Amino acid sequence: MDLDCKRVIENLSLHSNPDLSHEERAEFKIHLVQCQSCQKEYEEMLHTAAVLESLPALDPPPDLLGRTQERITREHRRHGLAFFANPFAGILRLLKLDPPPNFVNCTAVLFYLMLTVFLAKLTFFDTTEPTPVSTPNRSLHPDAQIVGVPLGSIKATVQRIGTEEESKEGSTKLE
Amino acid sequence: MIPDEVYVQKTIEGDVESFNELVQRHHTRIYGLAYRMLSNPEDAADATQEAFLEAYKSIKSFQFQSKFSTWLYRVAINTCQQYIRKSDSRARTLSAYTRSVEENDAQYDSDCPDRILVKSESDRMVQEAISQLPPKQRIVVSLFYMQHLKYHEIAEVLDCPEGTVASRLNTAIKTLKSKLQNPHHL
Repeated sequence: MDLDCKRVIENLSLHSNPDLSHEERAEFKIHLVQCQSCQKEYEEMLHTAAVLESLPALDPPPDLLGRTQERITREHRRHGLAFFANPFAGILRLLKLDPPPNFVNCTAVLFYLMLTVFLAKLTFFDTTEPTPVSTPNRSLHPDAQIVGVPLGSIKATVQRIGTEEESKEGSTKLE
Repeated sequence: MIPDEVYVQKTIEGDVESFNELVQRHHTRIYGLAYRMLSNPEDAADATQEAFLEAYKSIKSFQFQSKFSTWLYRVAINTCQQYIRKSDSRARTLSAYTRSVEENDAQYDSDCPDRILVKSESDRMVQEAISQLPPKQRIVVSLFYMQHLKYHEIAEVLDCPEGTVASRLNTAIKTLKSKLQNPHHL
């Protein structure tokens, strides 16, 4: 193999290098016609190229298109969801529901608003009467009321009643 | 036929169905490219999905200066290269391919033309030879011979001079020629 052959084989113009000059290309072509060894090499490369071109077109799996489109749609929906609406989307997915992202966002906002109002009411605006500690005595008169009385006044009342009884007894004895 | 770029514009404006139309148009070609690069039908299907998902996520970076298909090929090639880098992919390649060929052969057996069997075997050998090429050569072979792209299109996809494409193709052809002449090296 002389130097020319080596050069030709290295630059064999099956895929002609666009950087080659017209003169170089012409030189290779002339060499190819004259040199049987290079011609054989060139033909073998042509054959390899033909084998590659004859490879059959590949059919993708039948479900690939559907799966890909579904994944893209899911990504689109996920992208449209606000971060606070993600738990809702998760629950809806579990329920096999797939409403539009805006609907899920609005529902989430509504839910959080209601939750806030409920908690605020519990914390700051609770005006309900406290329930009685003990159950009312059912033997009392229906109109009877349980009232708080200071302990001192009870003692005073007891003393007064005692004094009155004593004075009654005294007057009885005198009589 | 409505140009791809119209659908791209609609996708950017938020219409997901437009992108799904693009998926329908290009998924066969992207799968073909992925299969030739990964030599494994399962990885090729996964890579195709990943490539479209990546394209969807980064659709706003499409500049409308090249064809959408060129840009999509670039995204798909990057995705496939990530798959190639995954260590387990290479290990699975041969076994999965052999399994798929066996399945195909079983299918062809029922049809029974010997010609198809021989073709299938030769296709398997060619694919195996392609899978042993360095990734850069594998890409140009796939884009030129299977996707029928022109030099300047491949150069645009790979962002390299046309001369580089030609030289990679020549080197790949020479390597494939010697591999196919000595199939026991496969």
